[in-house]
Amino acid sequence: MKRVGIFLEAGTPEELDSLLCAAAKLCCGEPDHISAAVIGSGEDEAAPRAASGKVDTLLLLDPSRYRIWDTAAIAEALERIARMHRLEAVLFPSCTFSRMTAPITAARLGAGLVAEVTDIREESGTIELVRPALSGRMLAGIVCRPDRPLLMSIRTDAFSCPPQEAALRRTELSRPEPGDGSSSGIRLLKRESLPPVEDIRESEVLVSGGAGIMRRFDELEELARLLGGMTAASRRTVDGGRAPRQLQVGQSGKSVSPRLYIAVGISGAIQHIVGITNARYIIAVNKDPHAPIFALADIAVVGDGMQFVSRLIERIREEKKTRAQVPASHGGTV
Amino acid sequence: MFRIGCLVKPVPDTAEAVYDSREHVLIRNRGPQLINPDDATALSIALEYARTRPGVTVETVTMAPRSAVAHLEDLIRRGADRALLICDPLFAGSDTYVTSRILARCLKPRRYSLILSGTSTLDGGTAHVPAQIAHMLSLPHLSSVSALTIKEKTVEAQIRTDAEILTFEVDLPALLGIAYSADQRLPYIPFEAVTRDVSGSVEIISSRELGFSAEETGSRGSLTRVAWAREYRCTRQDIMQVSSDEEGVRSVLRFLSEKGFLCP
Repeated sequence: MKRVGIFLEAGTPEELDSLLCAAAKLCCGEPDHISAAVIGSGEDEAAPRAASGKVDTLLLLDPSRYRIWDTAAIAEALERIARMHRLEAVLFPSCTFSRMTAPITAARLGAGLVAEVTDIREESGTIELVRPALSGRMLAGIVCRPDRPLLMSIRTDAFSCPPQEAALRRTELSRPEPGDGSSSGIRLLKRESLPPVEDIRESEVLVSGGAGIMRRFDELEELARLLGGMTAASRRTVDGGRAPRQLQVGQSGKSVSPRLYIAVGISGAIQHIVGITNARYIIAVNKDPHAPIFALADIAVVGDGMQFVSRLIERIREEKKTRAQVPASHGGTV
Repeated sequence: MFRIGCLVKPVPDTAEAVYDSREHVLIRNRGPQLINPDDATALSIALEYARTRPGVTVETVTMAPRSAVAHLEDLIRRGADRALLICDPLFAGSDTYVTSRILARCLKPRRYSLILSGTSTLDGGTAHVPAQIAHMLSLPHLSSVSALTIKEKTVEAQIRTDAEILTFEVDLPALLGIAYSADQRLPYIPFEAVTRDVSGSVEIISSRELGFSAEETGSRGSLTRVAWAREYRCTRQDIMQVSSDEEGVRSVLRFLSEKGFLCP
């Protein structure tokens, strides 16, 4: 596998690096040729700047003809690009609109598509794409037909390569001809920005609330603040309207890797657990001594979640106060 | 006449699913099944819309083994007008591409005003099928739709991403993938429908009626195959167990202090 295409939805350097990391893994080394497609008009934008020197061809899809929700038109353009550049694989980020574009592109190319890929392996010359299945209860290795291009959407948080001295590529800009311009039947009526929420993936400490305490989810904020972290939530808390979706951890939310993850009232459904396996330390609090999340915890606290949180907040405040009074060399009293 | 087709899939309860690790297929006839939560949200939107509007009908379309009949009869009792079950041993082991082809061929002559489905399923979780069917039927498509207003010739569909809420107007006919919402539940079965005889109300459609050959379906027609699958297990060693009393809180505090989480 030597000729790879990638589609950028957000166009951020992080997204690009994850896709390039997956492409390198797919090719067992640096691909011979990388084509990257992004909606954009000029070199002064973030995506072309980030891609410069990292890809061979940067294909700018005219933003006046292609909007990110024009998934059928984008798929038609990607099919043309894949055929023209003789791409052996096309990689998409597993984001809202790419999840619609990738299946249409695959159907147009008559190619197999694997979703939410978290790892790529080679077994006796055959490429296996690893993905969670059955709500994360299982991991599956999927193989595509070898006589067709291989398409996949990747969990971008699963692919991060250490910085390497990759050869600088001479990036050629290209503007593919727009398609037939027929109407997609979809018109944007309104676009409202949501207040920016810090990304839970960036936080060193997460205090996460589940169904067991969701009515008192807001009270976790104070514990998170005292530990210099953020709150996060299980799917049931988000579905119950107690926390915004941006805070959701797990298979259908975000995979996180904080130094400390405190799970309060979270039983540990597998779809949640797959999102926290990279946490350095886990403290789980649950009434049920058999809650599956305890298997993953460094400390299993059996009992009432919010009672524990209130007590811990009190003790941390006292401890911090003591530390503030005692010279640092004497340490605190625990 | 406004006809809504709803793609509905019974899925294994993922906590209880039985997987044949030799054949790499889910044993769908064993273990508890439920209506895929995203699909249930989509169907409940359709039933709610139809309830107060004469002339609006809701048909469910399902590709599943024959054991799904009981689920589909249940949906008729909840208010669906009709249920189609695409069912043939030749279809077992079909990947998402083949599944999309089979469903698209069944849907095409039915000319629904609107097709709704869930965005993704509990068992597969790929979200491929709605998009591919829309492509095969040349219909406008959006998925991850979190709010929907159905009008006569268009629908208003809302998609929430991490950063924004986008509201679209979509021309009908269209195929929309709906995101799960805990607030949008299937209606209860009305008392008078509990004992209603609905046997025979599910129309069964086989491979022969859809004109597929054995080479085109199942694992033979698929573009992907499962090479292996195994249970995902993750456990840590040396778990310290405490209770939530003062003693337990002290242990946790000590741990936090030792690991440097209480530093200013």
